[in-house]
Amino acid sequence: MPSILEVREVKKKFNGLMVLKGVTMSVEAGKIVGLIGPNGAGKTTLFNVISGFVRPDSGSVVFSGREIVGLAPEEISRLGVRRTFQLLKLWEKLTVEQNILVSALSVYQGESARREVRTTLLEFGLAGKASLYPTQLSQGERRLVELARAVVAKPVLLLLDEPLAGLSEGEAESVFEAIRRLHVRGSTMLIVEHRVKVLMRNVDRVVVMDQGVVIAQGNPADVVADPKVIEVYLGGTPP
Amino acid sequence: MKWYTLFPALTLFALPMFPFFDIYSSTLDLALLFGVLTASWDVLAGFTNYFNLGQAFMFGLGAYTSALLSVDWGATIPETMAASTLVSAIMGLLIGIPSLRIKGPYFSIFTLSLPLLFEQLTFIFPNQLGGERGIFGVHKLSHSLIGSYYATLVFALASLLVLYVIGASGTGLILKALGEDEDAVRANGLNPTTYKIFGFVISSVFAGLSGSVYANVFGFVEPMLFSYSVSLSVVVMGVLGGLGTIAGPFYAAFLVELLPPALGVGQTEATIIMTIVVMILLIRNPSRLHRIIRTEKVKVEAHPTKR
Repeated sequence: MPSILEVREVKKKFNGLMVLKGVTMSVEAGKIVGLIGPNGAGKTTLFNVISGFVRPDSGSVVFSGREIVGLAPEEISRLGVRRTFQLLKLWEKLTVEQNILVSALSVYQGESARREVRTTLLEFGLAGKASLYPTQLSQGERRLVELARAVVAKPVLLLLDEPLAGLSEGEAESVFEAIRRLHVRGSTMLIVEHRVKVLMRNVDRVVVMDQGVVIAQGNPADVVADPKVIEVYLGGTPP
Repeated sequence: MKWYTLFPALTLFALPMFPFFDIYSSTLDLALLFGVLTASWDVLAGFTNYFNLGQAFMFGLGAYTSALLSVDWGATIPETMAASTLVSAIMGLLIGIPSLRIKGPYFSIFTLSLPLLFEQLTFIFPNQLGGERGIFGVHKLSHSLIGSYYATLVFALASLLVLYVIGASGTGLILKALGEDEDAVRANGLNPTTYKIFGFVISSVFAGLSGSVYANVFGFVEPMLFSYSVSLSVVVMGVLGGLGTIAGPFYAAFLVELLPPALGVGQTEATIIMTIVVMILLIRNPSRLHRIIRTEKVKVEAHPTKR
């Protein structure tokens, strides 16, 4: 399968600290790739580089055959990369429907945009919550809204940054169910998640980062047994 | 924003029936124009939180454009209004493009200085711009009080409707979204700068048109139109009326302009009363001040020590 995303030797320094020390990894079309690693590994920085919010000091990011380093976040987004954030970035003064509509307007116009929003609301089980504001929703529902907002524009690649953060087991299951449905539809995803066991059950490949480099990548079973991963995670106990 | 908030404006058609009309018609005309000036300011400030602290600049620019074309060139009122629209739109682009690309208080600081600059120009070039005395003899919309009032009212209501429709549209939603979180807007495929500039140009056009109508209602223009008190009044009335509602700032500006004659006080006393009210509002809700001066630093989610 061709790679939809290729990250090659990406390096980034912040205030004298090397956060990314030459990251190389790829995501194949139609696959879910999990990105795991301890705190400070550089996972969100890598997301920010891919989505254009941070410019790397060197290296390249190729999306659908096109170099995207140097493009603005909104340009990368319009090319087909949509992301969610670890700290939810919903527009609190807009209703659920309006949150999704703003994203839809980047791709569709007028009634087409509203039609796509209605379809997406139904798909995510949010139709009954359309006129509510994010502050009136549970944390799980808020995560679903952010996911729906990213999905309405039918992106080629979804970057999900800790989509289960702060959720109860039940809420996490609902959100991951939505993610699984997207995968069945053929969506390509790169997911950062600290709930490693949930992630391992649901991804096609895993990339493990530590201190700014990729230390292992492959199918979940192989990665879990990798001694370097075991050493980094929990001091010798497999993740 | 609710569409029925526009309805009370329709009652203004009945005002000429009241006995006080002849005495206060000029005040009513001014109140309507300040209503449009403040509502147009709200399109940018109330939605995006980019506070233009020099709305008087576009107001004065529109007024002087109309006055100069009318007096020096004999242009008709439609021609002067069209010219004011064009000049305001161009200035909106020239100012907005460099200043709205950066987050932070820079836009507010920049707009604060503009009215002062142009006010000084009127003194530096007194032969061309009238100096302290201003420019008289501008073509008037009507020579009757009722005619002037209804012409101004039609302009005001049409402007209010257009501004409301923009605010309630998809573009208005996007402006509101970027007022909360520009990064989320960018992550969802939209360029915040494009929309901010659009909002500022719309705000400028209607501010300039208000100035043009002012010139054509009162028949003269003067440097006072660029004064800080005009800009400050717009901000105060906008905050009082409810940011991001269009109709709220319109009604607040209209009512506050009528305050001095209604209370039987002078303009200075009215300004003091209004300022005290705003200070109380700010003390009770400091986030309003926070929004005005935009001191919030951009949150950088990826911090090297965290991830």
